[in-house]
Amino acid sequence: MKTVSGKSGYRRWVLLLALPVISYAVTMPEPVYGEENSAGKILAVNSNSRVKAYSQVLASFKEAMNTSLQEIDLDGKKEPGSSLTYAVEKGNPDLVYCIGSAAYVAVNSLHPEGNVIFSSAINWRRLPGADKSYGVSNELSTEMQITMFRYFFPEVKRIGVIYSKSFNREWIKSARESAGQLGVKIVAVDVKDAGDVTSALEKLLPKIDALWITPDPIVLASGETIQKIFLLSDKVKKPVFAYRNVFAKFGAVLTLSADLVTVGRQVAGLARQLLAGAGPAEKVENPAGTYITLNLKKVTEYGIPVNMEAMDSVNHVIE
Amino acid sequence: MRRKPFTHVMVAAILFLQMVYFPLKASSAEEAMTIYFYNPETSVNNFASLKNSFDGYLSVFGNYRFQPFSDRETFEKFIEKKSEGLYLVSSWHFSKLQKRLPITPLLVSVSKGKSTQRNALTSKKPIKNPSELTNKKVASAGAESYTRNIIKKMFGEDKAGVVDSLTVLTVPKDIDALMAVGFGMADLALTSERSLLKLKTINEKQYNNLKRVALSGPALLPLVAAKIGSTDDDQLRDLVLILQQMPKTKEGDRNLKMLGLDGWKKVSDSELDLLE
Repeated sequence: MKTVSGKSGYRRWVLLLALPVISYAVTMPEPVYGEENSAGKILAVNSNSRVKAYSQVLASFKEAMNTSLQEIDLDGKKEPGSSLTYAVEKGNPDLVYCIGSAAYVAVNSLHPEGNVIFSSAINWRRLPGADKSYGVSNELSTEMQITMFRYFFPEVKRIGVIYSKSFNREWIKSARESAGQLGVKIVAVDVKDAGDVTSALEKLLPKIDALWITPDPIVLASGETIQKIFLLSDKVKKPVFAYRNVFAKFGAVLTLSADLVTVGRQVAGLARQLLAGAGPAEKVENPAGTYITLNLKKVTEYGIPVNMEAMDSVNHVIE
Repeated sequence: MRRKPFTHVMVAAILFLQMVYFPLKASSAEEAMTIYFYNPETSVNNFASLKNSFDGYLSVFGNYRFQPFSDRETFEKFIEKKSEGLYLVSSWHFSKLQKRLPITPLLVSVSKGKSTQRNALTSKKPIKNPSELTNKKVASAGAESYTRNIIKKMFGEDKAGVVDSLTVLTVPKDIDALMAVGFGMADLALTSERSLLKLKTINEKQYNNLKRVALSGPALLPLVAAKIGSTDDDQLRDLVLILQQMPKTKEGDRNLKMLGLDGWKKVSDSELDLLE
């Protein structure tokens, strides 16, 4: 008897404690955007808060906006989920900021007519278009990159690129044009399959002063291929330029990527314009800031002249 | 057998002295003479590399260190309390600090044989009247307060309203600011005139697309300063000499280039007149 009454008492207590939680869940509160938010209701959707680059860009955006906003983390999931659906449909935000492609695709499916800004999306041109979407591209413009290559290594005149026509036909065309205006020649070889990369590179290396690694999913299909590219280039002391800092660990001499803090500030600028009812001049802006890593260890090893006047632009020096 | 506990105590005591007491004593007795650095004219986040390179270079000469700061408030609070050491600051910031702290300039930096620089405001479209700047976006590597202050000086206080209407996009470096205008991310760029001339050598097309809207008066390049009363310290004087010798070695020269400088020299009276 004692045991039975103890159990039922325990159940009553559990029920009593759980009641507020249950009632909160049933009558979900309105999404919180801050009580005195003159900027408008802003919702920030992060594709995955565990990705450091996403968190950095969001932190910079929040600092630049200096206003309260609601945040939702998709935690790597591709589906919108109930909290995002609720925030978009019930919250009716004035502006949604999507960090990463997954966040943009999810929001676009729920909110195709709203003010949406994206950043940190790989190959944004492939995102489903919406008339009111704006963004900051993840990639620096090709002219900006070639300008920086010339700035650091004025003697580099022939830059090699391995690419796939299926992904980068237009990109290589624009890169050739930009390079031509800057007195640099792009020597490009297209590959249809990752298995062709090694033989293409072996033929390309004797004809170039430096190799430029670009975001091409066929060329960079596996870690093994990436290692092979660096191994072969290193063997003949040809510098490699790349678009991500992570390639410096493989031996890239120079890496150029978008400065994430600046991207966050640019997004904040677009957001302010949209909330004020003004359409920004450009639908998708190029990143305005660069983050540069220079591998001086490799520069010395290869004996290539580097413009010391450019040293004040370097964020990270590998010695 | 009886000696064993005594031996244990002795070993523990020696270990304590070696690992805790002596290092503590040494550090308190010989605190490193430090260069504290903050520059509101650039936003390049290269502090880790600057610290590594300068610490490596300075350690050869003795107990010297380099400490960069990314935040103005933290830097100012820190140096208010600190009486020893050198402060490497922009001349604009020095003038502001001098009003609050007893500091004196010791060296001025030099670039291309000059100890001064001018700032240039550039645009893709010609600006005939300052009122045309209203609500424009200006890209600058400098802190927002610094950027607005320089532009206000260019146009005069009566145009302060126009300058206040500008949106400032802070970018890491001058070359980013110039290219931001070229690629349409900003309407204007505030950079050093030196950076504008650098653009000419690396991308003449972009350079030719830019029009000079205004040019500031000459301002001193960054200064090395110290608290008044601390300048007789032998270690501090040695550090000033080490800085002056930097361009003579390959590593020293490279470290200077990371700051965008070629060397240092003593501040002349005429240069002091340029300080506000």
